[in-house]
Amino acid sequence: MAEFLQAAVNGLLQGGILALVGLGFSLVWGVTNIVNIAHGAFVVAGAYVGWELHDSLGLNPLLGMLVAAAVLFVVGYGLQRGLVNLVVNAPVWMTLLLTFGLQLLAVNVFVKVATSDYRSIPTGWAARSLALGDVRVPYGRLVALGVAVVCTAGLVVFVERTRTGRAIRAAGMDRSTARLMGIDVRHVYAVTFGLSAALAGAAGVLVGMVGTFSPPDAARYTLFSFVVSVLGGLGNMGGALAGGLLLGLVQAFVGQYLATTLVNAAAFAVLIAVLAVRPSGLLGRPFYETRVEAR
Amino acid sequence: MTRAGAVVAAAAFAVLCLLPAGLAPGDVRTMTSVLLFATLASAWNIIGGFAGYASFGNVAFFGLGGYSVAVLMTKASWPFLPSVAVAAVLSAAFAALVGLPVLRLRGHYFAIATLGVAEGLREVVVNLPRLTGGGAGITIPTLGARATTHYPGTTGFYWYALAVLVAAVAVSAAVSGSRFGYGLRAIQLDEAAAASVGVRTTAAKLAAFALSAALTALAGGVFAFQQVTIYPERLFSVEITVLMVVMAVLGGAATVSGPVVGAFTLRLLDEYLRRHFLGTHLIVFGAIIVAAVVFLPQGVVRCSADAWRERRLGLLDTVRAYRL
Amino acid sequence: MTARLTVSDVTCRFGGLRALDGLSLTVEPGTILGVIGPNGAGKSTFVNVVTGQIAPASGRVAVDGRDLTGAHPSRLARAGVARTFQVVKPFRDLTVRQNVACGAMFATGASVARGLEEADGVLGRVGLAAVAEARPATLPIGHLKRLELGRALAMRPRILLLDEVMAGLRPDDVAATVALIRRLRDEDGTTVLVIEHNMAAIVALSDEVLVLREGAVLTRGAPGDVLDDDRVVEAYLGQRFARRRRENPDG
Repeated sequence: MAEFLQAAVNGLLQGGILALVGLGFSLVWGVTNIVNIAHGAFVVAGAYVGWELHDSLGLNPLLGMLVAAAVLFVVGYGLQRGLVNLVVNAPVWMTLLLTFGLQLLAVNVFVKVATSDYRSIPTGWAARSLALGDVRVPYGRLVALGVAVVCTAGLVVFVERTRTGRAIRAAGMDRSTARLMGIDVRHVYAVTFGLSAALAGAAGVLVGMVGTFSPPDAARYTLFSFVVSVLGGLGNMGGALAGGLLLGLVQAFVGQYLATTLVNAAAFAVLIAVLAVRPSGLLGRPFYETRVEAR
Repeated sequence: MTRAGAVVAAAAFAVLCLLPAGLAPGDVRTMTSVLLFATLASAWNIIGGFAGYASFGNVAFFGLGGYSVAVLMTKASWPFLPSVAVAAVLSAAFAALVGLPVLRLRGHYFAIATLGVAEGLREVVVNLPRLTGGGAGITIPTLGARATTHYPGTTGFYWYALAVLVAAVAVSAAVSGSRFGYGLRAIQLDEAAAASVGVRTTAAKLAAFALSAALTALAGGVFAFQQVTIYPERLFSVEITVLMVVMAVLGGAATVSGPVVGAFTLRLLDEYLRRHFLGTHLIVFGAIIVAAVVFLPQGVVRCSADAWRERRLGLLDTVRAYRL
Repeated sequence: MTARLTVSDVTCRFGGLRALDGLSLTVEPGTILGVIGPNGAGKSTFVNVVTGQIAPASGRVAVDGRDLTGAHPSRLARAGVARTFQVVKPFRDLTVRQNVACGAMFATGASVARGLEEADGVLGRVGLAAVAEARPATLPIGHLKRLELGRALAMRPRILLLDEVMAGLRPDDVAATVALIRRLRDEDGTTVLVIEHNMAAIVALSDEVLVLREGAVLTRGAPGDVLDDDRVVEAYLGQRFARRRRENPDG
């Protein structure tokens, strides 16, 4: 029983980070219809920003997270405005290849600059745990889950309540109508991309705080983002959180009761099962229903 | 195929037949890899180009082909040729099986579902160590009593790779001019309209996927035997899928010659960068992919045909068409 | 003699909305039937059910007595049901001739060479012979509508459903299309269902007109009688207008 509870807790805590990793990916996919393969590279980039600030300035990673988010926002905004915008109307494989090229470029720049060594952002408290009976809850992961929930809630409020947020939703539902309403779609798309990169950057710092990271991890994070988005439904922020928690749980239980080597296989099995049965996402209606391409 | 196309193909084939005589063994190995990638790109083109279903998991069939050959030669002591034939049939059957659910998906969903199939298959191979050797790999016996087939050596594999490429190009050419090919293009251009004129869309997509899988498995089988020891990480690498897509697309998707042109250009360029920019060649390669997608999305073959006809190079035309 | 097309008690729901509500009708061979109705009456759903794009929740669709309810569009196409799309759907990267040849190849099982030959004949008929080698992207909407029609004709259909094939055409093109469809019926005996907003074209073309309202048949008859029917006027223009017309028949 304790084993089961511990696996459940581990899964939920890991799920929080996965949710934050996938949140921005889902937003960009839902709004701009672009599957950003380079998303995982944003996560790793954020981790490096946090690591560098901690290493050279001794900055607390939770503050470093804010800086990383700001830096990544600028990077994301610029990339969308300057490059991704060039292929927004192109067929699917073009955007996939473009962002794959960006990912390849970024990962190898990281390897060149920082080597492919595994790094982590050490803190005294993150590795300590709270003991609840037989179940151990590491503080770092608990904080990470908290950040994920706060970010999701913040994003929901932003998108629902603010002027820019509404413009993002409008552009996501119908680009040409949004344009007629006087919305600067290029700017809105770039802001969406920037937000997505900022969330990925923040997630990266958390990843570095509770574990390790290295450039080749980028691909894995892109993949997890995909699973999270599909589980939660495109552009559905609450869905992404739930999708992340679900993926975390599946991975934890498979790792606990089957084999740790099967963790990724389990994620794919879940993904394919969901795509085969409910292509519009597991959890409720997708937000941008008209965007769903599958029958 | 047009008459000019047939002449060019015959000339290219003649050059490729003479090539091993004039090259150093290392260069023959490079050319073998070029031929195998040209096969992969041509095979991808049948489902991804003609039918327009951008499979991002075709490496599954490469790995399945390679592992089928390795397992049959090692555990069942089969010779190479029957093993590779069975590998192709197995991969086609597997494609038809997974095709039933995943070919109902479109666009990104199809791309990622196929990616998931490939990654899932790799995990299965890793987790069946008795059959596949698991993560530690499997070694095909090439010497002594357990060897079933004489190891063909550098030039021998060049001929195998060339034979496989000829098969892939012949199949592509046959598909391109046939009713089946028209059906696939109709599906690519508008699936609802295709069905409304009578194209059996599900059957056509499954057939294209299975055909693509069989050709991909042939290349995988040759590659596995050439490598002797194969590992799941290598045979199911996502990068192989991406390379075949990039090659097919940059050469010219849904054309017969495009994937071959793309594979030769990119694989030789990659080799050049590897030799002269060791350490940064993947960075340069990434930048080339980005630039090529933005400027040459119609592919080299179509772009040069248009440039020839209109007497101007329209690199920015596609940017104008696709930007926001 | 069995009817060419039999639709019996077909119901189609989208969420809570009943797009078709127990629709029943038969069409005899060689008839040109105009189908009209206000927006939301279920015209498009009707076309989609008959051509297999949508499977009905209940009811039956039969062609020449053969039950084809819920069959895949491609099966209906091969059974002789051809359609045009309201929003044109040409195969963009194929030439006009290849587009039309696709109709012959897949619906009648012609070879590629035979299909292209057939296409030449059809292109002459729909007046697109001059642009046979052009790509659809370069053509004006009037040509694209005729391309849709040509691709459907190449299928040698028993039943041809024309969904707004005249919308956006110039008056002389409308007249030419009307003449073409009439000739088609007279020479080939094709049954034609015309879904159209252009009333003048409907009247000129149809043997019979059927009015849909709220997913069921409101009335059916000769064009002149139907358009004069108070219920039809009411369905289109509302009760007040219908009453005013009854009280003041000359105005």
